[in-house]
Amino acid sequence: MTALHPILVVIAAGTLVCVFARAAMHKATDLTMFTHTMGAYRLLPARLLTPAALGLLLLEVAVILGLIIPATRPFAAGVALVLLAVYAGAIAVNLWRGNTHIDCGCGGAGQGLSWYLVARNAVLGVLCVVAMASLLPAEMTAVAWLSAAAGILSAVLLFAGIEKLIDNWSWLQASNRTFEQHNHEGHD
Amino acid sequence: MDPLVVAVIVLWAIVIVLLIVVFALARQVGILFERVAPMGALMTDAGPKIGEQSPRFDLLTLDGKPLTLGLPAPKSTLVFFLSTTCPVCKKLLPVLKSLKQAEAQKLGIIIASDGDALEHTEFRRAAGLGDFPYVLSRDLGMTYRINRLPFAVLLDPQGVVRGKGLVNSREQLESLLNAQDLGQASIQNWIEAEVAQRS
Repeated sequence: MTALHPILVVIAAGTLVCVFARAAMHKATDLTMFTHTMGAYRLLPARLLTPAALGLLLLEVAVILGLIIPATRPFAAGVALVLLAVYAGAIAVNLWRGNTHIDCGCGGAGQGLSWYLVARNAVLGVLCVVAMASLLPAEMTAVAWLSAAAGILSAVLLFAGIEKLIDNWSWLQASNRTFEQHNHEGHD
Repeated sequence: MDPLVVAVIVLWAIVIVLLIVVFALARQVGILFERVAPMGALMTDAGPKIGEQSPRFDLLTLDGKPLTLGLPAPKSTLVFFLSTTCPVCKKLLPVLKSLKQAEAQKLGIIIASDGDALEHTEFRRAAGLGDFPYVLSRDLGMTYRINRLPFAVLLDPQGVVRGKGLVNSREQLESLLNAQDLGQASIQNWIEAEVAQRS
């Protein structure tokens, strides 16, 4: 594995910690609803849903802790990569099935499925690969830590902003559809 | 201090402030979309018309209690059509719960859908909808020509249809109730009447 500057690795790992913390928080606060959402994906038999939801939650908490501890960071980043791939796969299967009007279960107000979610997971996957890299022997000075912290904050804000824009885009599409339907009915 | 260090600090500060601005702008655009588009609960013309008596439905709730729609009742009835998989329906559930509390004197709320009873029982439990009468009836949805969700129909105490439409947000659901208070079939009608009066 190639070695990268510690700043890059800290930014990647820190951003992943924030993303997974939000996901785990969402699952922990409403596990019953998340279990139901998983049912809507129609990938697992009903009796496996509750254990699977609980398992995913525990796995996410383990990934968060593992990414923070330097010794386990590469391994935890690997697990995170697998988790993201599984989520992306589940979403992709349902997109192919045309089953797009289910809740994605990714937290926040209801959001349907779209290829954007798969792309987002791919970008997060790149961050996992960066977080798996070994460190170049470079000293982490005060400025380096500042850059790392600012980098994490920027990445998280950027994700939140893009997410919000995608959300707006789905509103725009929905209102276009109702508008067209309304006009169509008006001319009948 | 090394000028390069100062530059890095200043640039990071600017980047973060800019990203906060981008996020805030995106949020405000989203709020605007929710508020304005489309104005009021969208009317659809199929099914029983506003001002007509609702056909009578004898239904059974998920708890096995009989429920009759379309007959004179002590209060108005809001029938909320949903499906277990629609994200927007899920978003409106907290609104329904607060509406039930706020308007308990004047308004009864009924949840309607169709499909597998087991799946709906599970959804009802997961979503905390135990307080609402919950009916599964293909006939009800067909008669009101529900083809898009979430959809709401408002019946007055005489069982007359007072409002109906696709509801995508809290504002649209409330506009349906306001339309009844204003004595107009829909907010669109009320605006047209107002404009006609002023010109």
